[in-house]
Amino acid sequence: MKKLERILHVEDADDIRKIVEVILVRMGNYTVLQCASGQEAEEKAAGFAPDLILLDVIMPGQDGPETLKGLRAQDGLRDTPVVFMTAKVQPGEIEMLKGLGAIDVLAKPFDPASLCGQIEAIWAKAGNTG
Amino acid sequence: MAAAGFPPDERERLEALRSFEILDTQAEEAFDRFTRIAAGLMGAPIALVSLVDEARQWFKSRHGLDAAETPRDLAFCAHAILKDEILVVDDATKDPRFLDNPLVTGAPDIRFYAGAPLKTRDDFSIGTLCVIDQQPRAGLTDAQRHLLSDLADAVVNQLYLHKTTLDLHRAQLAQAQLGAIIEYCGDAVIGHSIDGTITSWNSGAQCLFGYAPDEVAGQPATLLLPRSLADEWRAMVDRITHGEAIEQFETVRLAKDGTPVEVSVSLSPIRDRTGALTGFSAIARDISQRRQIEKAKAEFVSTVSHELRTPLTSIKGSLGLVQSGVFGELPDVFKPMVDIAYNNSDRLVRLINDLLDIEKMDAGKMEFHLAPVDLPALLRQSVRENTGYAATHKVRFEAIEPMPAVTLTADKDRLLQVMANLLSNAAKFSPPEGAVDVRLERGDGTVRVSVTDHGPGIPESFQSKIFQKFSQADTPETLQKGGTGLGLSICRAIVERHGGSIDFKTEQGVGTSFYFDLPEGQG
Repeated sequence: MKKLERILHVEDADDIRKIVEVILVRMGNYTVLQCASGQEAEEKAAGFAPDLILLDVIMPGQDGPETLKGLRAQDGLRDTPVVFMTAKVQPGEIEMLKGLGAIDVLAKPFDPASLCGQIEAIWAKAGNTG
Repeated sequence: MAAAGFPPDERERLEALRSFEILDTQAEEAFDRFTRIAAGLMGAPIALVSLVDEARQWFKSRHGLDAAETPRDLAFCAHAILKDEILVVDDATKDPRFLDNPLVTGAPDIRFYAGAPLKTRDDFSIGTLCVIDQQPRAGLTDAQRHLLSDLADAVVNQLYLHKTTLDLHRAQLAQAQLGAIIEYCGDAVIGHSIDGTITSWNSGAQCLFGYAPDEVAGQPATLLLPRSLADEWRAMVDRITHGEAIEQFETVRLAKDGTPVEVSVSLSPIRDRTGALTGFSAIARDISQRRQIEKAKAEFVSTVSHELRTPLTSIKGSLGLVQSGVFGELPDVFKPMVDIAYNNSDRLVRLINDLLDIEKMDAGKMEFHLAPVDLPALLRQSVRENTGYAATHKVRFEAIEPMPAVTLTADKDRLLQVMANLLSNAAKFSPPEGAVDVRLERGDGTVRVSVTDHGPGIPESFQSKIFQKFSQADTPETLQKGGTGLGLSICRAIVERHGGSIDFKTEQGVGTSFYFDLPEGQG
């Protein structure tokens, strides 16, 4: 069973990127690549070979769902688990995002102290183990 | 002179008289005809249709007399209404009842009087048809008595005709008003025969669907129906023909130009006097504008909540990291300040979540995922999950055991939301080191969950408002406690959607118990 080590984080808001970086790197000890846009993620993802992708939904230009489609079209990323992170958390919206192929949806704002635990739980539920 | 006195049924007699609504009305040829005929047949100079009310006799028709009325205590007719038969006075100057009557001693110098009572169908004498002569006479012949009596009956029939005409005018007026209301009410009001043929079509229907009345009269109602809704319509008509009414059913119809129109339709059976079904009415209201507003509102709430959550993610995230000690231990003087800022960012998140829930409730879009729920397990879970919150208020949450085994169909997450609300309220208003008890009891077909604190109790002035939106007791304690004032309103909506009810018991200085009852075995 694979341990979760490499996380790709796609988020356009600088502040949130900075916070998530601290959480994932300093609190979770993950290897993290952060991208500020969907295009950047599509360019760099395959080279980074993430175990899991955390993907913002609403981004200028190419949004989260579009980025997911682009990533899925690339070799090596077809089955990489994707977790959307969104501030749009109405029940209909969560179902819609899962329907696009995300394995789960994390609500913003998140609790920094428990974010790594939530990610590990999703990773384990997806058939992996930490 | 002797006044006539009153009949024993005077009150009912006066009611019968008033029911004709004839007193003080204009003269009418229909009545004048009778007095002319009576005077002619009897060879008398004066003939009257006299109606006797409390204080006077009033003449609906008078032939040969100028006066419109006279006091009742002078009236010969007041005597005549006491009798079943015609009252005949041959010579008033020789009759002790009338010899000093001013109508005898002066104008109109009555000598001879013959009055036939006007008897209603309920046998009340409301007046007379009378003839008067200024010369004494030797009574009436039998033939004259019969004629006068027949004429009096004809006058009564004329009174009933007058009444019926008034009723008819009123009914026509009411019908015209109702017709105008229906015609211009703004909604489409459509009449159908029992087989669904359109029988009436108001201007609201013309405005909404574009057809003129003559284009749709006699057409089947399916003219307005999208093909895909044929089954829905058949089911509706089936319910109507079984005497059911359908209220505010939201569906779609087609306008004349083929555009779909979103409508709320109410169907009601129409019955005749015997109760037999003769057709049905459909009232359709255009709800497309309302739908647009609802959509815009939902989008607005969704957008605003997103826009608020994004900066909150940064605030809560940074504070949470600082608080966690990931950057090193905080100096003691900073820590309380960071805690305050973090807790308040948390409170803002809860407020946004509550606002979203309220918006969903108002739009009827709060989603429920029903499944069998082990209620005692759920209550224990709620106590466990909220223990951290209890600790921040230095109180204990305790599930009182043993709990009865109860499984019901419910939305687990929503019930946990109700419990989190009730527990957090109880914690906020509990004294330090106090306990909050969670109980589950089985009633008659229902189960009761209660959350009891030992706080100050709810102020009486606030009790009636406690489940209203944005309601918080206006006390210094409450202002310190935080909260959105939406929690209990949301709890009530959730409990009611499970077919249950929520309420509370409180005693000043002793504590408060919030409880909700749910029907067992269903959600």
